[in-house]
Amino acid sequence: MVLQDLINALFLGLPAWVPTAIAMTGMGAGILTLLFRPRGRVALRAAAIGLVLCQVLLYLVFA
Amino acid sequence: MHPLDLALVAGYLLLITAVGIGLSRRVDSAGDYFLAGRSLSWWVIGLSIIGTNVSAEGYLGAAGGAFNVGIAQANFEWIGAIPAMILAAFVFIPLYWRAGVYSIPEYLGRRYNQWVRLIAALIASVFSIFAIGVALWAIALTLETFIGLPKWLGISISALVIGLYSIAGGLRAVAFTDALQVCIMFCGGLVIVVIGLEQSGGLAGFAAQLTAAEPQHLDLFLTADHPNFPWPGVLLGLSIVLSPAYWCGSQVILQRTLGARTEWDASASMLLAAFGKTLVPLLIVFPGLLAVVLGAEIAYPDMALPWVIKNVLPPGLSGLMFIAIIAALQSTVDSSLNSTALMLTRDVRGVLQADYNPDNDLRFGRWLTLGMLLLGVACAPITGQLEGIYVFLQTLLSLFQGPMLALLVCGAFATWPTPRAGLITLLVDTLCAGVLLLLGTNMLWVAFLTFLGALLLLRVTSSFTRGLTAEELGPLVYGAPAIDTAVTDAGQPGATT
Repeated sequence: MVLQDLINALFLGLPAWVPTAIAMTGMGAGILTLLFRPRGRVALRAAAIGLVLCQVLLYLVFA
Repeated sequence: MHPLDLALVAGYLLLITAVGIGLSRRVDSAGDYFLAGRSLSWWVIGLSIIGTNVSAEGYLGAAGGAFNVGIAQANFEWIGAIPAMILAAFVFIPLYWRAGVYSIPEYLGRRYNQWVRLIAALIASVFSIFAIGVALWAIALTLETFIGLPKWLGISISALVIGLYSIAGGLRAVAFTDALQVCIMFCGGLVIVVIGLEQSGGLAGFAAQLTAAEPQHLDLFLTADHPNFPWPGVLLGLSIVLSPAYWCGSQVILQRTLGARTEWDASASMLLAAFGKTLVPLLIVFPGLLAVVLGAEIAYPDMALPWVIKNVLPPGLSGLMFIAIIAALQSTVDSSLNSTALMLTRDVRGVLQADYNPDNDLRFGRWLTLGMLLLGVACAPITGQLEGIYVFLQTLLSLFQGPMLALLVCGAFATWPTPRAGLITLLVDTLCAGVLLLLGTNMLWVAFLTFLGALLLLRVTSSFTRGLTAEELGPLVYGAPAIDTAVTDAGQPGATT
């Protein structure tokens, strides 16, 4: 219940699809960075940040 | 089975065989066969990693696990994969690349000693043969469920198709066919999700029915005393030990990254695979949950996915999904074959044979691939006696993942681990893992405890044994002085400067 309250507080009571959408956006941004900024260290870092963001939000939704 | 489904299956098998054999024309050396001539681009490798991994963990087994325990099964795809994949992309893949090795046992051999290399290669090879057997058995199970094909015939047909392109084309054929197989797999999986949700009244209806049937099935973390997935075990054993050991130390997974055309391609491929991995639960966990919602009456959990395909999908689409399963499982078998052949050719033969000649690697590797395939076929029926494919594989893994991860992490980041300490740790800790498993300890706890034990043992034994010189440590440890590490194509193991 504590976790659920935390999730509600974090997302101001918004429905679960909101963080899911944010997670998917993070993922999409990561993939697009890999596609359009190849060969650079920046692209790898951006992709990793997208992945981490996505994971955190998925766990907040399903925990 | 509907004629349309049969046509799809036959077309797929022909396509895969043709693509694989077509790519075999460019194999002229051991470097071409085992590392695709270091020519693979990041998207091919990334897709190939997903294909190899999904099937390695068991397409059918994961759906069966979800049928049993619910969405907690997705932990193996999320917390039990993504952080470790990021670690592999930024830390271990660049390290292996700079060391210029063909395999992870080769890295361990140079960082510790040739005995560590030999044992690591043998352990991984035995596991791979079992994995091949498990995958072939799963294919046979699926073929029997759908078209009533006897298991021995299903295994034989699968082995023939896989053998043709794996033996001829090596890693390049394996990687490209894997990429194709993953695309088919995702298409088939998404069809199940769409139709399944439609039949169960949308996402809200699905969740409501699932919660009514099995209230715990939407909980990601189960109770601490759960027999298979206790939450502390998931956090400590799975995410801290099993997952990094697999993603940062598995030859089957990492071999294709060593075949990348640049270091950037190698790292980027792992991140692409991580994005795919995030979506994988939708494809392999969802069908298990759908079987619960639709009230499937099945003999054992691994039949959940075949049941869904048979009872939910219309003709044509069920053929597509059937192909997706076969594709997923085939990608495990072909990848395991190639990586096992590499380890036995270079890491086992290279260490044991006094007059080892790398010029014979290509011919030797091809014969070994055939031998491994036949051994996998022989092992396949044994796996049929076990309750759950997935748990069986993970249990085997947990035996040596703890010590292996300790050796990799300490070897990569510290200069103090010594060769002899590495050997002692690997032997003693693997033995301890076996004892713990025999005593009935949960595999996740075994992994975590043996990892801690290995760290301690490695530190203690290193304090009274002789370490490597700074020059020997060179490209093998972060923080050591950098030296030139140009890669030889098919040279002696370890000869990379």
